[in-house]
Amino acid sequence: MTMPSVSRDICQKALTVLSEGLCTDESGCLSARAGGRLLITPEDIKLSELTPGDLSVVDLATCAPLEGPRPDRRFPLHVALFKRRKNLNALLHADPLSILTASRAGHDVPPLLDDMAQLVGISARVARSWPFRGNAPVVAAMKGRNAVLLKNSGALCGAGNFDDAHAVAQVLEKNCKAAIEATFLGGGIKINRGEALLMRTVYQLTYAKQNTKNLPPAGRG
Amino acid sequence: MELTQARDIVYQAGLDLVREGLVARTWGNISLRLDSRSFIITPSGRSYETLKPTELVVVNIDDLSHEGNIKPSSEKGMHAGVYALRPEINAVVHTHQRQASTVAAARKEVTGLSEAHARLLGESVRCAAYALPGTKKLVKAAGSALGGGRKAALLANHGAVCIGCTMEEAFRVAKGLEGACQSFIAEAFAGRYGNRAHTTEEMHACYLTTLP
Repeated sequence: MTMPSVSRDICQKALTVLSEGLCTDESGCLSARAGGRLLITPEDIKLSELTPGDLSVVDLATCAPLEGPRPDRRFPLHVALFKRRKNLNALLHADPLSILTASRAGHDVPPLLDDMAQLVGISARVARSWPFRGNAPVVAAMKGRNAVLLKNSGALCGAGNFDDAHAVAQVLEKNCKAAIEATFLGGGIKINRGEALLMRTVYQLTYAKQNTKNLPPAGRG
Repeated sequence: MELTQARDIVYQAGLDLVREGLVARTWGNISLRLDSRSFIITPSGRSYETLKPTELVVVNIDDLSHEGNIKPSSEKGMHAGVYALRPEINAVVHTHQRQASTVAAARKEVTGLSEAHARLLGESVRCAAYALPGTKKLVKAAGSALGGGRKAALLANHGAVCIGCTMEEAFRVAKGLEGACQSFIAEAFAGRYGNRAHTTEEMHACYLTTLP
């Protein structure tokens, strides 16, 4: 994707996640990979007022800001994740009610719903040392998963594109709600690890591709 | 029902369910009975917003064979099972709605329904035994949970299935189920903590103060 199209994508998705309450004007942060660079929302501009020209550009190899306004303070974490996870192209911070509560509770969230196992992974771990001790513990906590809970600060959700990162945030919020409120009902019953792994693998290999593959013959890309 | 009319009804129901927040993206599935032998259903893995009415798939109730090159939803068996068991039912909606999913994660039966909810849903909403998505075990469990003339069932760790004589009724059932599950969670909260929370924020704050 070109830098202008990535920039437009970030601005568009920022408005969507704001309108759904997945983050606030102040807490939200979105970034995307554009070749060897990272485009990220800036520290001092509200998401709702963002335009494509407002984004900060950071060099992925050196982690040095290159162009634009001061990048969001969390940019070194985004750079670390993009460098480690070559299949990630989009990241977003989400802190709706249930994700925020789960990040404050500080316990890893098991898969209570099958779409959590499919889209997020076999659990969402909490990076308890965040924001101290650097980025390595967060990168490690997100290993093999598409999201990580940041202690007291919501979650960081990632995927190959913004639509999928957005879906990860939606599903994580629903699963965190289930994990918290099922305790009022006697507790949630988690999906066992083997079945969670099976569902994630099947999802990644087949179902996730259906939106572009399960088309009439003329519409297949 | 005539195929073109059925396509329009299912297509519009998909958009309405997305607007109401009862499904999102490619999740859930919707079907409508065409006659005693077939129904029309949303395709596998396709987003409701980009779907065209002509891309909905006709499926045979008895052998689950389908017409055309587009794959039907992997939950077609559950829909077929409902149509086979319940001749009066003409619409099936499988949702991943939030409140119902929470109760489904705890695998509880929703009881103590208000009179209005009971009229709409049945005497209670059972939770079908856990089964992997798209399996015969899930088909059997959902059919069993819908017994006794019920219009809704929870699917353990998965979501809900809502049915109706018309698509409008199935839609009302899905919305009513969400309200019933919300009340059920609120009652359980009050029972556990001894006080009624006015908002979900209050519930979560209370949860945080009582963590081990």
